[in-house]
Amino acid sequence: MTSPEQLTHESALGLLPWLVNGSLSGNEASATRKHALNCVICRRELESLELFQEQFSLASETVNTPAPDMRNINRRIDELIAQRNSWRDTFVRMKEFARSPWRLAFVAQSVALLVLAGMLFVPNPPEAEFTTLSNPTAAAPADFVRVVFSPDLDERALFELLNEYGLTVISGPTERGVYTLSSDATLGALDHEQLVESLQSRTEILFAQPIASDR
Amino acid sequence: MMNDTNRSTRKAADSDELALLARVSSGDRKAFADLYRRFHPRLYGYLLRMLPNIVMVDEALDDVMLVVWKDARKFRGRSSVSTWIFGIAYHKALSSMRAERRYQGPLDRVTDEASLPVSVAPDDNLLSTALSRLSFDHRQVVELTYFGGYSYREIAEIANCPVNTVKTRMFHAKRRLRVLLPKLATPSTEKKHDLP
Repeated sequence: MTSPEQLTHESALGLLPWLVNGSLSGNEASATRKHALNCVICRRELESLELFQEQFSLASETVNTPAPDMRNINRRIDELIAQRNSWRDTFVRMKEFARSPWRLAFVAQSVALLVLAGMLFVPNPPEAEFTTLSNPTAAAPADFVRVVFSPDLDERALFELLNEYGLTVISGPTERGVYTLSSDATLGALDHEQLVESLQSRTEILFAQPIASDR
Repeated sequence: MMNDTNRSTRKAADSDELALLARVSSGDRKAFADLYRRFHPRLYGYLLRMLPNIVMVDEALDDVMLVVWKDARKFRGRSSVSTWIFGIAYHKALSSMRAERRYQGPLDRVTDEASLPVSVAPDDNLLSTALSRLSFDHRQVVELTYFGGYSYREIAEIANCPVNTVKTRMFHAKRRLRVLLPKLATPSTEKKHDLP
């Protein structure tokens, strides 16, 4: 809503075309008209626009509008309706077909078979490469030995025994009390066998076995 | 100017058109034919002044009315039926012009000879020739204001732009028309304006 007091010259000037075509609301129209009464520029503009309006009215009368020919639009609507009906028919047919559980089961089975058959032609994914995060020396366990100590052996005695043989704890104990130990890397294969035999002979050791090597 | 009688006539026409559109939305072909006949002269005149050839005018008119047929259900009554249909016509005309690579853009640019609207024949009046020299957007604001009698708010709805854009377009269009039509720009001093 616009009151006559609020309307600036620019606003009034901008509204003049619509004052002339009569589409302004009551308040806007009276405010614009009131401004134009006291403003020479707007008054001249209004006169000029009224001349425009007269000319436009004359020009619109001279346009020869042909009689409406609805043949083309009717054909297009018919096509549209036919297309819509064909979709509807297809849907109805599918719905009818799906009413029988045997037919539905047959379709489901056929689809499943097709999917399975399709899977035969799906290429196998390339073999994935895996890497371990553990110590790389563990991959070469020639100098390793698995040992289970007697539960009576205390920690101090255990370390003394390890020092005696130059063994280092690699991992363990596991839940079953198994330690993985590493012997001196400079020992030869024969010395390593002797070391294991020696460990097996100790009463404080219940089990000692070299880790199988692929070397 | 639009007086109270005109306003009430337009209001009655709006409600008639609304009733027709409601019937069209339920697939009533007869109501559609009535609506088509009712809008044909207005749409034809509008498109004739906006598009460069008769074939494009006929095609655009049918395209507009086909959208009316298809989308009648989507009409929510936020504007009058006429504003809604002219909004469709504006966008159809714009896309036709763009498809023809003849769209001149929203600024105050002069159109080239090839894009002159159909209404401009060599023997046509000076006003139509001047109108044809306006850009598409400026021409449509003038067209909808002076030929269609639409308010600036309705034009903003039709062109889907802010009302201030409509006013700015009108400002530029008037400025250009004044250059093209100096006679109309300087009204005779003898003419007395009947301001209240």
